[in-house]
Amino acid sequence: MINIESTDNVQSVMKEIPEPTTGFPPEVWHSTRPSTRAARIKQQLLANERQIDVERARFATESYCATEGESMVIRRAKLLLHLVRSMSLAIGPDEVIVGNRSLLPRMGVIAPEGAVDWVDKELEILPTRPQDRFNISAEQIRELREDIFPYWRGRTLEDIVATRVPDDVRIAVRGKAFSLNQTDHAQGHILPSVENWLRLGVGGLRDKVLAARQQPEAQSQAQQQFYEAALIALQAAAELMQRYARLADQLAAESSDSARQHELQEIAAVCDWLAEHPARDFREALQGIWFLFVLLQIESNASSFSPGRFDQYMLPYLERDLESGQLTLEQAQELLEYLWLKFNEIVLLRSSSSARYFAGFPIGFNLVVGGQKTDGSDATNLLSYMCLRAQADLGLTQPNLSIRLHQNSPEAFLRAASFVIGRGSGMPQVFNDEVIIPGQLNRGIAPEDALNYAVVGCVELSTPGKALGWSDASMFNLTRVLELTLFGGKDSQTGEQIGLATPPLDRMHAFDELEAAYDQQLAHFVALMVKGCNIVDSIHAEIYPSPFLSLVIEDCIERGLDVTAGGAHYNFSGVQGVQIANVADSLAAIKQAVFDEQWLSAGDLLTTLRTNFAEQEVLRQRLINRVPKYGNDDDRVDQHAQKWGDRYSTLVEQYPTIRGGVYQPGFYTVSAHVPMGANAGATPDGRLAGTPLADGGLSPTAGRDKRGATAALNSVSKLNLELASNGTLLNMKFLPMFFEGSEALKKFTLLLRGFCQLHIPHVQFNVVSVDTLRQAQANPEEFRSLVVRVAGYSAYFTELDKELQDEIIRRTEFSDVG
Amino acid sequence: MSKTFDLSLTERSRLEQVEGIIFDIQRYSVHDGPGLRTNVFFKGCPLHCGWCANPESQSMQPELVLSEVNCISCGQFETPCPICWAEQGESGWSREQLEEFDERTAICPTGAIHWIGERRTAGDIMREVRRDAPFYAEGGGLTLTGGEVTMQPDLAEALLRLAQAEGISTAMETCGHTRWPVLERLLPYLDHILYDLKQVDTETHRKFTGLGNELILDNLRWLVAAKAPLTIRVPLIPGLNASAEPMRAIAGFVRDLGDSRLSIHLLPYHTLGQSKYKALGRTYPWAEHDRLMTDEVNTLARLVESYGLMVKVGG
Ligand code: SF4
Repeated sequence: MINIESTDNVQSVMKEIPEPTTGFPPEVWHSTRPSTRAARIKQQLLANERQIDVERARFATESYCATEGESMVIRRAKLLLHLVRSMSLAIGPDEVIVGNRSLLPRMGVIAPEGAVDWVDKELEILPTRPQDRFNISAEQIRELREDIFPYWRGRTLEDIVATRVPDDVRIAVRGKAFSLNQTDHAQGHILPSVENWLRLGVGGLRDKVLAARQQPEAQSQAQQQFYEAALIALQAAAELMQRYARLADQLAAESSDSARQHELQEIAAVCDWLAEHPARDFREALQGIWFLFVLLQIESNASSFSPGRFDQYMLPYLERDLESGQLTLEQAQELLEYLWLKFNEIVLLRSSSSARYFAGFPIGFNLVVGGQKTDGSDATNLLSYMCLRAQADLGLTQPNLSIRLHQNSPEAFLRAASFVIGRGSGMPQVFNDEVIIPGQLNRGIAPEDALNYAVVGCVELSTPGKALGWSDASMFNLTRVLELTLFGGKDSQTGEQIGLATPPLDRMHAFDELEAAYDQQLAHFVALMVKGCNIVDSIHAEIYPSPFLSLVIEDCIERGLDVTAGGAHYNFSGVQGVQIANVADSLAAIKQAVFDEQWLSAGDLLTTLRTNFAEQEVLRQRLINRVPKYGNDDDRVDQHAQKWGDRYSTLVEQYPTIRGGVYQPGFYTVSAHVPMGANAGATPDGRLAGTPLADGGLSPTAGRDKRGATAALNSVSKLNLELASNGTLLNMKFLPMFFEGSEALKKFTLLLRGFCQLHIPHVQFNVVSVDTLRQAQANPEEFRSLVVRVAGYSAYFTELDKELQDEIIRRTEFSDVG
Repeated sequence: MSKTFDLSLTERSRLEQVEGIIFDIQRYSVHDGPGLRTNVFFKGCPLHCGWCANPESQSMQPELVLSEVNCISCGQFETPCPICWAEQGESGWSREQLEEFDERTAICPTGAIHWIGERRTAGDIMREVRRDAPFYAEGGGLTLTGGEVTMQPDLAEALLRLAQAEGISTAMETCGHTRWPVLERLLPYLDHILYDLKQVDTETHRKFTGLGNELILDNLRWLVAAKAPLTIRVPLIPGLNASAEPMRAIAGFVRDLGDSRLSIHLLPYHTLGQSKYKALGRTYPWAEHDRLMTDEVNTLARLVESYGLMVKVGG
């Protein structure tokens, strides 16, 4: 229960804390726990075994068979309509906010239009594979194999991509220089205009489509088909809500509990209203938001549809209800937490290999609070605090809660955020307006939109309701490309020529020559990456139009153009450079050992790398310990991070995307540092072949940053991160002692203030004791609700595979003991 | 609020060249003064307290350290270092041994064996301190600690003046065993003084630290008279002062100084320094003592409070 009365009040309470004391936050946040009902829903959610859902695959097959020959945008709309008419629905016994895209929470949904081959291969191992398991029955396997998959072979995104990627790109992908993403499911990664959805409702959007359809400049066949599809999608939206209304009616009739009966009748009324009209109050808005995301997921089954600046667009609804007395703050908090629970009900079924890149079912409901209004003033409000409070109460992995900080963020907000960070769920993650907004402006985003930026998925930056950022187009393995460069563009093991034939390290006479060769190889592979991404992008436009999504992205309706075809106001593609730390450390090692001090010959280094440091542990240790490392604020090595990070950025940003806009660089990996490390041989920084790269994106290599948090932050800040406008990720791990007591929290806010000044776009804090993690490894049962950060999002520790668990344990601790 | 003193260019470059021996610079310290701090550890101390958690701070000379966990028995030597790392006697290692070890520090692949203690100039140290300027909001800044800062007054003065000229807040931790003119000389450049008070009884003090406390008590009285920005820090050491009688004496002494702004920080004994003794080839002199229980610490804190003093546990 909470009894915050107004923002001012919260702030004053937080300011008044006598210092020092251990009682922060004081009475208002004295004990953070959810309401009994929310706790019950949470418990059921976590106890739930994940199942495979076959319905979507079945109905998609039916729909596609029935619509053959029609235009794809219409087929996609009809698919949505068929799905909402056919899928099984449920309303849980405790639910107030209702709706899901599958019968049970957390089901693994198969969308066959994306891919069937990998699903087919993994059907038997889904219940036992190392990462992200799902139960599946023999009958389900039979149905998928016999009745569903055969129809799709050759028609899926995966299959079409496979036939269209040219050889040069294929060689580079196989040679692990970069990955092409979004090749087996719809791409998602977008901030719908929740604001428009709530304000206009289904009816308002329909009016907008009907009006746009009449425009003289919107009369092409493609445009008219788009409008028709949009209307069908709106019909589907309305029908889904009406079906939930009827289900609630039915359950009310069956219920013997009069209180619940009344609740169900209310639910039915809310759903019926929303099926046509805009939300009128806080509760309707919460329910409306959830229907929006359910519908987006039914249509696309994709990662990272993110709610964005929830505290901004929801505030008017809350304020009205509080003023009129319709809701107490306590009730509002409880309702809010019901939505929070809902965000945890959708998980994404990924292939084993993809699950390694994005472990722990991240679905990317990124929700950001705080920051600035479009006039530049501070935007923090009561709801910002309530969202932080919800995270403290529930400690779940979704929504992926983020805060925006700027120079004038209120002290109380920093304190509240620090308190929640100290609870160890890895949230909120922290974004820095002071570097992100200039970075957005630099990409041609209008000032009011740059000020209004929000976060997609893990850490990707975008404009709510106006942009298709395609932020996870590719991961570019900077480390692997350096490795290839050392060997003259060849794979060190097979000798296959993967990159350009530049001279190998043992034929170079100066460090400059290595830099020149690396530069050439980077330019070569970046060009190929863009070529590959453009092909994938164009196939999406062809087979994955998303008429429902297009309704909530400006200017799709105005232009009569689907979002996948470039209908959004802003268009980008984001490609991540991985991993700066290993590149910088490796170059520093080569420069010092081979060229400056010359205690290691280039030939010996190459042999050693080729043989993975076999019998060369002494040399390996020397390279690790006697050469400066990124993350210690040491310019001798940080200069390489800065130079090559910035070089990657400038190479990327020169390319336009096929939807308009440009490619923009990012530096983040989520959990991809593990598989991308598996793709790279031994490196001169002492890293063994196949072992993980540094985590996060901009983080130093685990255990190599030994000079404390501020030194690590300083190292990172040397890159020009305004250029990394797609998003960056920096992980820092802290022991709980940094958060114990009011004074410790106060000091943590000073670290956040310093971070804000350093022009680093993002940081997140993993606050956990190593002992706890070891215990959790040994007894997963007792630690089901233990949430940790895996680079960029939170996951349940016990749901990660052992390798990742070990990795988390190894990360540097910034401990100040002794 | 830090006092700023302008420095002429020549004065600044003179100060930047002042040299001294330090053994560490610790960034992002959340203790030892307000805000976030960068701690510069001076090497050398007149006292030799058995419980010292920084034994490497005691001697003013560079010392050899072997951190056994980092040794991979690299096989470069017939006998791996940890085996020849016999306990160091009163007089340290022989010349030959030192030369041998010195050679090993140059080629140890992990840095497990290394020298600790480095002569650095004030300018060089300030370059590192300055890098954390974005984190010095709300009173954070530079803390000189050790070892005993006042054993190297030139370096101390240079660092404090350079810091203040840049608007970086300053603090110094001291055991107080120094001549008054040294403190008087540093005082104008200090925003905070963390003054250690271990024992009021002179004989006990002598027995456990090697020296009497006459200077320490006198200096403290003078600092109070000079209205210095003082915080008194009492390390709670079982076997020395972590019991009612000595704490009463300490609290009584502080109360009688007659300055109501004085607060006392109690720093409970911990054994984290223990491994450092082994690394230096010494034995831990305070081994027989256990860590203090939270209850014991709280009882002592209440006792001190009962003298009308502000008390805080931790520093
Ligand atoms: S040189 Fe280093 S690694 Fe080798 S034996 Fe000595 S301490 Fe161990």
